[in-house]
Amino acid sequence: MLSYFANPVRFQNLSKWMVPILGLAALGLILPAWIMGLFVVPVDYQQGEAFRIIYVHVPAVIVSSAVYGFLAAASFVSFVWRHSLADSAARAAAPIGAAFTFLGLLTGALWGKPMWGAYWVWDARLTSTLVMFFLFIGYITIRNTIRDENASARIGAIAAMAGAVNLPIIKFSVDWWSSLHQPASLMRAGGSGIDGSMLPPLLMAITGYLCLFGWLVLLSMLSELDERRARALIQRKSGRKASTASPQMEGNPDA
Amino acid sequence: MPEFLDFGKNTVFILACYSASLLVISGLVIAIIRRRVEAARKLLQLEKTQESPKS
Repeated sequence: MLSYFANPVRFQNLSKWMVPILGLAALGLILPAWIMGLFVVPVDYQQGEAFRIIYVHVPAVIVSSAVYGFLAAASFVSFVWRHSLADSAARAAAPIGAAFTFLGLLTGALWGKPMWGAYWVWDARLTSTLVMFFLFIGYITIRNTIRDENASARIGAIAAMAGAVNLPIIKFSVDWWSSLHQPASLMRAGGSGIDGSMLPPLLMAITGYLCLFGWLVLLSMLSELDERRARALIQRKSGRKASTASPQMEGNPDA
Repeated sequence: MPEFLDFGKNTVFILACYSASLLVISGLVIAIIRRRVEAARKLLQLEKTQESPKS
């Protein structure tokens, strides 16, 4: 199946109808979820109005971890089978993941102040999420600073795969260590601990953020494919110019 | 401030979270769409010049 989608032409054909669907789904899920989160859901009995931050914070952190998983998986495929599309996918996912992680940290800090009395504490969950943000930034830096494309792809893939060890730490940090951060309330054994009146907009927002990621990663990959083709055309053109120029140079002793 | 945007003592934190999310996501979407449009435009231009090598 991987080799079926690894074909760039097949990928482009598939993307043509996936891109608008994912874009519309993202818009159609996120906006109503935010509106419901802000104005429709009831006030939480413990956290009061501050609970409404859940509809921007939780989707951002869940999807940022999912994006890191995607980055690590794409890096693995790129490293083992050297699929250029897998490398494009990894490269496209990193800035989006960094943006979602940044949002997760920022909204978490803004939620932490009214709940804990501090914007930041060196708690295991917060610290491991900050580490994930630096892993995204590190991957982007590797890809943008190493000029040799193959070396950049392979070193980036190794870094991304090594960083995947942080994912279970993020997920289970609240269970392994005593933490100020609340334990899992959505994805836990025995079902969600969130009230039925508050849950649908949260699930809509998470699905919407996932669609948004899918939409943006496909658009970025299509851009990179076009950029690669443009570079190839320029190289071919300059090669043709050089080959037409060389006989003249040979014929001209002054040249 | 309109009444529907009044969330008591937590108004600033809630509105800051939603505004930041809207801002960062919009910025990301705009940057990626601009890159897509630019890449497609550049490729089309190059393909046109390839088809007519005299120009």
